[in-house]
Amino acid sequence: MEILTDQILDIFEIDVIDENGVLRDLELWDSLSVISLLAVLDESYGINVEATELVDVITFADLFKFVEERRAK
Amino acid sequence: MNEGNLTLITGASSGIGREIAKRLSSSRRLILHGRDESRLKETLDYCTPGDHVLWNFDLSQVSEIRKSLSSLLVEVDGQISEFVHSAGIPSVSAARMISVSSLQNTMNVNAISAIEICASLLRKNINEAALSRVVFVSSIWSQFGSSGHTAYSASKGALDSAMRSMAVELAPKVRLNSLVLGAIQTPMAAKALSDASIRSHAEANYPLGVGSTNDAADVCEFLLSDSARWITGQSVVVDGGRTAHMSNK
Repeated sequence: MEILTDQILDIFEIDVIDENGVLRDLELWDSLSVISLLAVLDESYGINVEATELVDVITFADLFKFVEERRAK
Repeated sequence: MNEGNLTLITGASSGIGREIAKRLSSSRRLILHGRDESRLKETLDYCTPGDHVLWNFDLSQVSEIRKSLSSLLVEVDGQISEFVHSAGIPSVSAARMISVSSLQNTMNVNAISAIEICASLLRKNINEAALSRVVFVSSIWSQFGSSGHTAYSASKGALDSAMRSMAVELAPKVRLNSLVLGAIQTPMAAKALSDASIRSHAEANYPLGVGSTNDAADVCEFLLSDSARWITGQSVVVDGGRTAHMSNK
């Protein structure tokens, strides 16, 4: 998950990830940031995700769990 | 048509390029370009049978284009008189996330490769300067702005601008035009258009609805034909009325 962590820091221009932090509360969370995030999931993890699939992904912890589960499939 | 003359279509392995290939294959000998050989062979299956040729090449490698094209033309024993540049990669990114490498890649495939292919085909020692008709597949994003489309717009704008200058310089021997397309139903776009909100937005903003690959092929075929003998240097808008529509939203 190191790549994902680094990319999240870059996309949302934050210094640290608080696992309980709410994604939608991030200052730079918007539709284009989400597209960048989805591109990382596709290019680095081979996971093809639609934006609508992230509806139940609330926190960073949820996001990491989501990625783990999708990779395991 | 002279039997030694060929029509090169880049990006022929899917969508708009494939439809143009299918359309032109009944009257021309084609060079079908694409990155994916198996999909290119599928395009060949859609085409009217003929002595068509495949050119499997990655257009992002712009400095290798001339060498590869030269070798191909020696092998096929012919000259390219018509060139359709349909290869293109979509690029959506927040402006603050653009990297030099992704920007360069988009520019290479969408614009620089088209110019380099024209330059090569204008050479006597490569193509006997046989090039006479060119169509670049462009987009309404070359003329209008849209969030997340900085790189894509820049590449299509570069393509249109290059087309105009070459059209002036190379007249009357070579005619060049671009096809400025709105949303076309392709496999790539189908995924986005399956989203209900995107679909309803497109339906509301396109007076004639979303286009088909046939709509693009129709105008491309016309621009290559002698019926368009007095048309050069033009960005021909084929967009179902999208850019004429001032939305109230």
